[in-house]
Amino acid sequence: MELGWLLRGWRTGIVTTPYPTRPDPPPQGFRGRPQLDGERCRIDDGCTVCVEVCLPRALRLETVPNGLDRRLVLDLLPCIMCGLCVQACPTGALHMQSDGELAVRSPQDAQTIVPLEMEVSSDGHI
Amino acid sequence: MSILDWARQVRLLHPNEWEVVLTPANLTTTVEALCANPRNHFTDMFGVEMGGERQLRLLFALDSEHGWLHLVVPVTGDSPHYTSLVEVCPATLWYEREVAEECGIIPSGHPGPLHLRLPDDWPEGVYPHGGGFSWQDKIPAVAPHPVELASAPDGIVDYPLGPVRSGVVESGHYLLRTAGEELVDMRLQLFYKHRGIEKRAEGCSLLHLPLIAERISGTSAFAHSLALCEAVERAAGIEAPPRARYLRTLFAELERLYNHHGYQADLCQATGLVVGQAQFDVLKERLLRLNARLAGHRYLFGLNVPGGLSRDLTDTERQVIDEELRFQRRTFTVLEELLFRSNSHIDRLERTGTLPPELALAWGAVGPVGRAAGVDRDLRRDHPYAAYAELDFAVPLETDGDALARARLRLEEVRQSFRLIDQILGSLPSSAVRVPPEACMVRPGVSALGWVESPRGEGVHWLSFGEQRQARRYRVRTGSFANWQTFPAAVPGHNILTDFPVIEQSFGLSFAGADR
Repeated sequence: MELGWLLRGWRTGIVTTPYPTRPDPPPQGFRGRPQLDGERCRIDDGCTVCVEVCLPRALRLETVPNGLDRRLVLDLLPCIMCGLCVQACPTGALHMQSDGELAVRSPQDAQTIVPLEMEVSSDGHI
Repeated sequence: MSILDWARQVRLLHPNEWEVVLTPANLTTTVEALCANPRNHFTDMFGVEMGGERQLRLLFALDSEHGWLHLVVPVTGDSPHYTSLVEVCPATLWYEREVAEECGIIPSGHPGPLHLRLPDDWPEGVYPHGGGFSWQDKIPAVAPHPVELASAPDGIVDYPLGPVRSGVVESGHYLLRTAGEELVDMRLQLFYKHRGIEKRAEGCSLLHLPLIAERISGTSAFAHSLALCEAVERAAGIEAPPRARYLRTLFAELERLYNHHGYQADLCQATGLVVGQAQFDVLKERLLRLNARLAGHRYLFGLNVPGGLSRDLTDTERQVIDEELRFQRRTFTVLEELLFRSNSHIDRLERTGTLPPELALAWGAVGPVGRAAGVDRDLRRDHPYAAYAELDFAVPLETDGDALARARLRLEEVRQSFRLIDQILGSLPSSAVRVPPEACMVRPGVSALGWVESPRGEGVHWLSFGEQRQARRYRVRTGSFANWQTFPAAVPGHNILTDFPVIEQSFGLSFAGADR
């Protein structure tokens, strides 16, 4: 074995980081993942640009299990984090969160849900 | 007699891109004539179905002046046949199998007409690129019909390896035949990672196509999205702004650098040189972090868009690259010297996994694998794209064709990448980095070619658009696909079983890239 390698390794020292004991934030400029702010979302007004632009259908309109109401779902499991939805969103309800923390404990934790409020008339029809 | 004498129609599609329409009867003579000139290189062969008409298409790279030549052979009937070209052009071997299973165009007289890419339980008569098949169609389930290989003769032992192996290795299955210690033959089963990427692209808009191209092979994401964007730009008749062309060259070289560092790390792992492996991995990781800072993604996803780039480079970022490059250069010089002083490493590479130059040429080896066996081809020089025509660099060439030649060649390529990046940082033009999306408009029905010298060799993308300006047919020939076909030729002869990891790593191929 060439002794130079030994010296080289010793000089390099430890380059791995103690993450997750200590935070290891991604470099400045990292794109990250989309985050959906239900307060600013205009899905109620019929805006669905994010759903139309999403290739893997990570953003989709779903019918709630009661069979009546609908909701907008952002699901990070199929999401490829391309950021097209963030560019398309006219109200800024979608933005990229670049802390680099992506792990979740259950598939449900990867979902953000915005319920669609239906206008109900006095005779009970939508 | 030239090809023009028997061509039914010759057209110039785009600058440096010719199309010749032939009958099946003239195909063999034409291919033979093209292969007789060593300046022409067979590049791709695939089938297309358009408006109910099926076409067999071949692509040849001509010299720098003439560019590319498409041979288009319209075929008719339920089960169209043509005479197999394997005898006149051996490199078509895998391509003909792929055309047969994906388009139903049958090569008569093919020496091994088996399935190539499709799984064992794929039903007969269902063609992914023929018969109006859509990627959303449900495929009927049939019983698997795997190909049974003849068992090994007496004294020969079959050693199966993969598809699941230790470490972060992609899926591929090898059947290694050994006589005692010596490797005498090898069978290869790839395509476990076939995802139907080309099929998935059908119907996609310009907005989504780069996302698909990036996913062909993660470690060549920038190269593939670049080839795709160049194809789109040629189809739209536009050119990316000068700054975008320079920045694309910069990112393509950053991608080559981290890949080549990763390559040396893997090779060190194969020879048991763990400190060397760690050292090259450190260099690679630093570049991935640099990528994340510059592009927002460690593997440069989301950067190429038709008409340019999705983000610009600031002056601060330019300085960051400059500083990192100085570190990389300094460290690389030290590591390279240490590598050549490590006999335990070099001895394992020398005369191991030799790909003889004549086989490399005949089987169509490309990229570093080809150049290490005397195939003097580099698309950056021979068919320049992005800003390569305006920059000064050398294309290293080796003729031994062994693992050491492949490793040495990539070391030299790293130095050339440093040179290129230096020049780009010193002469970065100021302009926009993207033409407005409304200016990037393809005509309905147009098709175009895009190409790139990816870290693993020539990537060639052909894209045809439908009436709604969406992708109608997307075809990708990656460098890894071309080189996997040559790989079994390097295994038998003077290699023992424990050389196999070294041979495999020394080719440095991507499974995902070949499987698509």
